[in-house]
Amino acid sequence: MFNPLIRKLSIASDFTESDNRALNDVIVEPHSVAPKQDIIRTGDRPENVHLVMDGIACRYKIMPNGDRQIVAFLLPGDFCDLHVAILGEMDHGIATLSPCKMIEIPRTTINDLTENYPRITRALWWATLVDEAILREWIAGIGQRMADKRIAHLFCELYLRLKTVGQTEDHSFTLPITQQELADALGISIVHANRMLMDLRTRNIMVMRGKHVKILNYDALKAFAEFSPDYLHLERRSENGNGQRSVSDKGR
Amino acid sequence: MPRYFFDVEDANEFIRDEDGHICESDAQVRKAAIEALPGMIGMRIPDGDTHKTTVKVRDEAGAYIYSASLTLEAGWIGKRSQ
Repeated sequence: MFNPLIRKLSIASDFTESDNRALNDVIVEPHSVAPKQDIIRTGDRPENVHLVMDGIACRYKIMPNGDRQIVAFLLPGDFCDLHVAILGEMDHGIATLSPCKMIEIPRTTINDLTENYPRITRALWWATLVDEAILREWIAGIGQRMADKRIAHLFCELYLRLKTVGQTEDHSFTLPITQQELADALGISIVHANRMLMDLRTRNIMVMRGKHVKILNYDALKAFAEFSPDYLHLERRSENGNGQRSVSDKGR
Repeated sequence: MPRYFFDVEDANEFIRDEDGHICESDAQVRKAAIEALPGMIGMRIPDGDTHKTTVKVRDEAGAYIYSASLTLEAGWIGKRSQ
């Protein structure tokens, strides 16, 4: 079965046969979740770890006035709540945006992986640190980046993250989210989000039609966004300090 | 549910909304148009002393039904010697 988890975690560790076997055992038949369904609500104490296999989910915070801030997009291969077994109650919610295929991994399985498989443990650490790095980049963007560059930056990020798990074709990918959801992640109004998408389209840089995204000029998008992929840590740390980039972000 | 299109006039630029989005009520149309303005006008420091941004809302038949604009006016007070 297609295993986006191994695909993603392989960036961080060279897995052995037995590591791969352990990670494949985790991948049972996924269950389907309809769009816009809560996976976990604020205050829940989930017993299982959720892994996205297909579709897109989000982490979100609901403000007292009902407005929503999306604080992360969860793509195939992403854990929703890897360390929730350590923390008590959820301090935020997780919901599907599109139809999703998810796998529930019992806590005990995660404990077994981290106790018995050092390379997997290292890779899980890596995944958690990258999640944090992405969050830092979003905070910096919301605080300091102009809205037009912020949206371009997000599309560069999503393109590379989806490419990592084999979900892009050329420079096209499926992004089954609405403009409202995009706006909720960027901290801007929906009219503003639409205006900037129109602008990128007019300039022949990128087209989003419905859920289909086609980056027409990745180099131009990257330059406009002032995007550097460093924070995604797609380069393996090596002993001599020269990283090996696993996923190229080079334009054609 | 009706779909509305939010065109934007920003200084000399006109950006036509080809996608539109669903609004459940007139109040929602008004809110969407107005709340978009401060963010757009705050995007960059204008070249001159005034900068006007307008959101014009079209209905599905193509008729403009609502307009909201925000004008930024700036200028030195009194004479400034260079």
